[in-house]
Amino acid sequence: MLDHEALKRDIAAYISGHDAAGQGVSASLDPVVRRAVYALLPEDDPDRDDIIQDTLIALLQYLKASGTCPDNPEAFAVTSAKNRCRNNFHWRRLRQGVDIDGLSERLPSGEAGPLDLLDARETRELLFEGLEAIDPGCRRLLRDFYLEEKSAETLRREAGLSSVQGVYHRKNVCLKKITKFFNRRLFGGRYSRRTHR
Amino acid sequence: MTTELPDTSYECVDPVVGDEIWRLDDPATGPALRRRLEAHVAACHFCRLHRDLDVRMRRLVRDGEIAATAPSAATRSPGVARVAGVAAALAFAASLAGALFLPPRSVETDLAVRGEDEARFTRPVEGQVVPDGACRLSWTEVSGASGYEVRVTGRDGDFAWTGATDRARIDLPADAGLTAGGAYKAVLSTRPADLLPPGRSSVAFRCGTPRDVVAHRLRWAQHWIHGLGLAGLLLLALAVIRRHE
Repeated sequence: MLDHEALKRDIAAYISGHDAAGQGVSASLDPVVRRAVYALLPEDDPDRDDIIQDTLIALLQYLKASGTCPDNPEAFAVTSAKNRCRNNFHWRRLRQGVDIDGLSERLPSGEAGPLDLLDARETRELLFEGLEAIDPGCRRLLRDFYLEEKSAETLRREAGLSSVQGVYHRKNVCLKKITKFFNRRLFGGRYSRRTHR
Repeated sequence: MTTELPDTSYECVDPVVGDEIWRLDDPATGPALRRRLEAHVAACHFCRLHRDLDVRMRRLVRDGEIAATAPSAATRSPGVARVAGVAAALAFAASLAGALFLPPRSVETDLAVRGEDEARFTRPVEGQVVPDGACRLSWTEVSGASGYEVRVTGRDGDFAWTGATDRARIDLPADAGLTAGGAYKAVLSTRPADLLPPGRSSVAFRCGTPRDVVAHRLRWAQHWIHGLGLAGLLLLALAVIRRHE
């Protein structure tokens, strides 16, 4: 049973510079992360323990870098572990039947971002489709940002918004549509291939 | 052996913080928040995908490798959706205006032609619900008539009003006593009287509350008005479908 109070104490201590408390954080979260990873990857998967280890290290790095404790450290760690499993799974699916020796520089590490798994052509094609899938208003806003390099202040005036934060937020909403499209296509689209090992 | 990982996509590790990563674009974001957001992006695959896409897309658009301007077949959906949405709104507005301001159909079509050869009431039409209080009655002119007389009676025999006019319409005053819920019959006669068979040109109508009046007009609107409303519904469905494609 996870002792939430002890975990928060350890996290606070670790953030304030007591590195030894990091072991307490890892020890507390190891069982829940392990459970999540074991539920997703089969027993004979050689990457299971690496993913668990990478997840716990990434959490400690986050605590140090942000200087704050997530609202729900357990959910944070479990979601992070699941994302790593997806990365791993996705990479294998994409590279099935490919000689991985030639891809040594692109082998996914625990820190690899989703786009690191794709080559330039795949990324370009998916981005092209993503741009086509969003509404014209969003496409125009992104074009104004990227191509015409209009300042946020100019875009704010043109959009009749009261603050530039609104422009950034709107751009984020548009990008999120592409991210969701991308995310969906990455795991359910034509690049998907079932792995049999 | 098949790997059992479900085909689910990346998730944000801390959605409350993830919803704020757009502030990284804002130069006004303070250092503490920026530090937290940058740490979040480094730890979250979903948000890193979001940020990486921003960077990658900016580069590809600037290099001209992908166009952020040229809409293709796939992008016509929002345009079609917008046009269909506007057309649906116009159709709904036109059908609503038609239903509320144009005369409704007669409730009973076989009675709609009552007196048609000689004269017939054009307002109200057979079975129409009219507002209580003042009410205007109009009819088609009768050739050779120098005047008209209209007698309005209540179905229960508790109301009677008679008015004369030399035009093809007459206004019942508000104090005539038409009350909501009452059923009435108006009978037209002419001067000279032999131009119309007695009692031939008549109309039955009811008085109701404003709600009753609107409900009746919507129910008994002309067929083309209902068709317009139906077209509006179809266009709305098209707009919704194309928008979600």
